[in-house]
Amino acid sequence: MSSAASPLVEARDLVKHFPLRGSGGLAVRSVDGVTLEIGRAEVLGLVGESGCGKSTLARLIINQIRPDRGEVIMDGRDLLAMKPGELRRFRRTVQLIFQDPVAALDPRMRLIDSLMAPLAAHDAGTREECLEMIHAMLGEVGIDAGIVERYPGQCSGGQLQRIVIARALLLRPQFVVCDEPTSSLDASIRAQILNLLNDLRRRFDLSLLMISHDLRALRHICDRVAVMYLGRIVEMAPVEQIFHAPRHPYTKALNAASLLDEIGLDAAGRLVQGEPPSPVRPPPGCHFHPRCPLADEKCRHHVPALEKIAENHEVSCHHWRRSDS
Amino acid sequence: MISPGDTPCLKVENLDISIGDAVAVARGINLEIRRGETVALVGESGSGKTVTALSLIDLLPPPLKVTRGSVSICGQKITRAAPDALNRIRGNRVGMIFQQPSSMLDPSCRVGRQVGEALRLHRRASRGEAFERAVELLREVGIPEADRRARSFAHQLSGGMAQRVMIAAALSSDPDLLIADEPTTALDVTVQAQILGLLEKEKKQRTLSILLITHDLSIVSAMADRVVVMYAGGIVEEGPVATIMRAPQHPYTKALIDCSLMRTAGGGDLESIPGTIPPPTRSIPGCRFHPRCPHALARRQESACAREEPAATRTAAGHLVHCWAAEP
Repeated sequence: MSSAASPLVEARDLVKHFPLRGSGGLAVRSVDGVTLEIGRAEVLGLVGESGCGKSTLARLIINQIRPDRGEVIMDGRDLLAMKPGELRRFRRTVQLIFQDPVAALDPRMRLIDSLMAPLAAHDAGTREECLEMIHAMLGEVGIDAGIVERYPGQCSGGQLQRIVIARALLLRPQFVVCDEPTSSLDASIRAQILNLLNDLRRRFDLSLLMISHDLRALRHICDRVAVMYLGRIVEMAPVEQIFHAPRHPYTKALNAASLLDEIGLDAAGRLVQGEPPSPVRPPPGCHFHPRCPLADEKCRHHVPALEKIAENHEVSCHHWRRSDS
Repeated sequence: MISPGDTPCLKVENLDISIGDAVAVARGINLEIRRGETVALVGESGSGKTVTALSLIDLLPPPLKVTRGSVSICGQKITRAAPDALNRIRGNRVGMIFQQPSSMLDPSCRVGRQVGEALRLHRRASRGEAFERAVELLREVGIPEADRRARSFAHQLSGGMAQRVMIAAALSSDPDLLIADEPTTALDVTVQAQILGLLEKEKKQRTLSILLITHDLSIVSAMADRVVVMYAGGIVEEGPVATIMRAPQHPYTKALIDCSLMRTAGGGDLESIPGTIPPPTRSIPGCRFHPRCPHALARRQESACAREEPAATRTAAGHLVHCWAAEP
């Protein structure tokens, strides 16, 4: 099945609701019918505010949690139908990079032991071979090999994030999920890490899913961006389209929020009202309608479909043709 | 630029803050805010911006303490002031809001009572008066159904609502100066513009002076009149927002703007600053930025940059720049 043309990851109609105990059947509707594809060596950005389900979606895609409905096809194989042994081999090809490198590393383990752990778990070779692989990878991420004898507490956040990236790449994965990899870092360090990820993805032909709440951080590294709001994808397009010709009012608001200096507070404030509602009781119809300046009767009752409006550009809005928001 | 007799709302002179008596975490801070002016204090973590803000109303947690210099608010001295004098200034002149609104509010006390607390303490208002005024304030900061919301607890509010409550509490005593420490960092991006817009509205209505502490330069551009840039415990550059953003003169300010993701189109590498931010405990001789400075001078005339701390130079654009390469 796996040919160069088929996407690496295909998620179809994924749904995940987390029931609230003692609530009489209420549930947090984290992911509510998401379909997307990630191509080989493609970087897809996933942007949205806290609680919109972006991290849950990522965990569904790598089979860390099981969906209530839907399927995930990775490299032509159905992830949800995999047997344990097969799943274990699959896990080697998928890795995760988290927001806080301090929390991602055991404070009582030397960095070298943290780096060694995934290699040992997957029987990657003798200790000498593993050390050699680690040293080569440290070179790739721009870390001085001497540092690995230290404990996490003795390193800076930027150094630790490089270690976490090195650890994720040691097993030569095809697909890496980066969950807010730079949001806990300072501006000067954030730029270093974004450059590094960009460089590594080219050298290792990686497919990446880059999760962020900040559109600006995605611009440098992504080929396409999916915008998520309360469990649904509302717009998906090549990155420059998202920045220059966004169609969904929510994408426009996110865009303005990241360009406060150019757009000004008043204009940015007018594009969206209020705050994201709870994913326990999402509004009927279009989830965005209570905050949308374009909302009308139709939006309050009918869920807009994710409509293909151009090659590679999908949007879920009844009023995407209007340009007045 | 300040006419004689026009007392600045905040004046900080030669302030040093240390851990105990040994390690300086902020050194030689000079800061002035005029009435109705918004000054942004910008820097990365460890730059000393939060300790500077806390020292302004004598809230430094021990063992941090002010070891030199002075702070005055509306002409009244804060440094080494007697406890009741200090309380009077805190209660009447200054309001402060923080990054995490939900953790700054008392979880066991209805928000209306918290907003009115300063009025009870500093204005001797009765319980009923304070509550009534709190409801008015909550309405003013854009909380719908303010009289019902005043009876809520902090956990029943969203992040944006909690920050509005914090702002209402900070404004309750009608302060001259509002200190806002990363007021929108914990909020969602679409809520951020609403909260900043609220601060802007209150500033105009009340002729507030605002000290805005942030690491986000796009917020600085949208809000501030003047910018003060800090690095590793010291001020490196200060000036009007427009020229700082357009023509920064300190190499660190320039690097910070270049790597801020603000004006970058897609593709290509981002500008970045080599190396890491030094921890405040590390002593660096000379200019604190010289080990990371891209400026040729730091290498060519290493003697000056690596040995002696640069004095402030007033440049033609009106910036105060702490760099050996700055030209008057």
